[in-house]
Amino acid sequence: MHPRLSLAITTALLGLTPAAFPAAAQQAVREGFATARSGEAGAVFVPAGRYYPLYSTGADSAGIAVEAFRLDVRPVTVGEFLSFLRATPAWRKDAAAEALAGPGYLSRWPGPLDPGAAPLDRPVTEVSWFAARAYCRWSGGRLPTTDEWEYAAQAGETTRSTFRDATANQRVLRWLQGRAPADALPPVGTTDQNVLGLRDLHGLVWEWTADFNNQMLTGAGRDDRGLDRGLFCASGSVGTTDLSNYAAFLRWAHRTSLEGATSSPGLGFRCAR
Amino acid sequence: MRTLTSRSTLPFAALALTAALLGSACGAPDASESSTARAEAPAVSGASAHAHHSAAELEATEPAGPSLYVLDQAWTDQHGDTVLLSELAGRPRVVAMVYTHCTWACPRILADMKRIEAEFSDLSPERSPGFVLVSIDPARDTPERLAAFAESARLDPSRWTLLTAPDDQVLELSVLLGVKYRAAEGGEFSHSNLLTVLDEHGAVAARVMGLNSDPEPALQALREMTRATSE
Repeated sequence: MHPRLSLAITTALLGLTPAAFPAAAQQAVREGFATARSGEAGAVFVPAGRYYPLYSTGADSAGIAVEAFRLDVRPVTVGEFLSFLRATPAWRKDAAAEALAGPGYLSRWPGPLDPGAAPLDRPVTEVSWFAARAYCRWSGGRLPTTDEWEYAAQAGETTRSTFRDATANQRVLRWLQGRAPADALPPVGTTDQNVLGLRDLHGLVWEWTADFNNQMLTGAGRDDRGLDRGLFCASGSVGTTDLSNYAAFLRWAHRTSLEGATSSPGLGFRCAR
Repeated sequence: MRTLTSRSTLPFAALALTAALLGSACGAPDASESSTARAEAPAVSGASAHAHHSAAELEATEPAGPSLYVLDQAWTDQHGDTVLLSELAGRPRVVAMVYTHCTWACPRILADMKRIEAEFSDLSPERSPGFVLVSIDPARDTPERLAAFAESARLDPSRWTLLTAPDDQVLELSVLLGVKYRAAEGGEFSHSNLLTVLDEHGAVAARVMGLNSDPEPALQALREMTRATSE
């Protein structure tokens, strides 16, 4: 564990109760949490299972199988990304190649190693897909696939799957609608939480996935009988699509607007391991 | 964000979804669209056929935009040799992402590329554009398979480069080029049909979307890059 984080936790524990924490200790906890490298200690195990993507038609589809993997509890922070930049000068904003990190890359940082007013425990945004991949590789992980991310996100607050659960889907939408503006994001770990122990999948930022660019909605397997090919190859019968998982549709639509070099204020990421 | 779920915007969102889905590739023909070529400063290239050392011999021409060769990956070609992406510099390139087991769309992509090749067949190999096929199916498209494919398709080795590399590297290049692909049933792939013309610096000079599209934007860009000489 990162030495500052363990010191911070020790300091906090010595304080015994939250009310007794000196302000300095609280600050230390926050900074330790923010600057510790997101890694195995900050990831949860997601067991193998199946999920139902937005184009599922329910009972006649077997869903998409996902193998077990580990996923970061919450998005990568400004502090963590700063550590990465210190270690990897090629990804500083004054050095990164234009084809790999567009004009918006860390555009609100006053300097290549200066995040300015952004507190270290906020989710890092304005990072391109290539930069996010480089961070995950540096930290010993990788970007999650879209299937992995969506599967993890389909877990609810108390159940493993919110598929066709109208109440649960409404809660997800409220988290989505309640997101803070991109220039006033709260610290990571403080919005939604699900039964897997994952946080901020809905209430904080959009997140990169490894195969965001390959979201073509054709059946990947023989068991995906639920897919209506006519919908995607000309007929446009939108009425047959189940839009109860509206949040998944919004995420799908958002991903179609992205390119690899896109760096935007409301878009961050977390790593799989 | 709040307005996205209001009653009045939901039909709009549904329309947007329809529009987005109709545009997605599904192994069937794309709607024909050609993108406009960017005007390209004429380039004189002293490149050898395999363009290994040409960067140092370049005239001082301005690239059309950011070079894609900053993603300097190591690929394996149809001869089993390692090729760094940056070694494609020094010569305009027409790049497509295909797979050799593709029986429908890829033969058409190949035909489109050969049409372009024919336009410049009067040029020597070093002065003509290079043609690059990158496999999206590295599990089956080994160097040996690529070599056999190149032979049966009669691809001139002084002009054609076929490349293979592990999946993650293919994904990275596909994102850089803007090519979408996804494994489908029975060993097939759904993939967008895109020809990308790169100038000798590796910047995108033209893109041709869809099968049997009008190649004129690509031809125009390539003419400017290969024929503007002192002759």
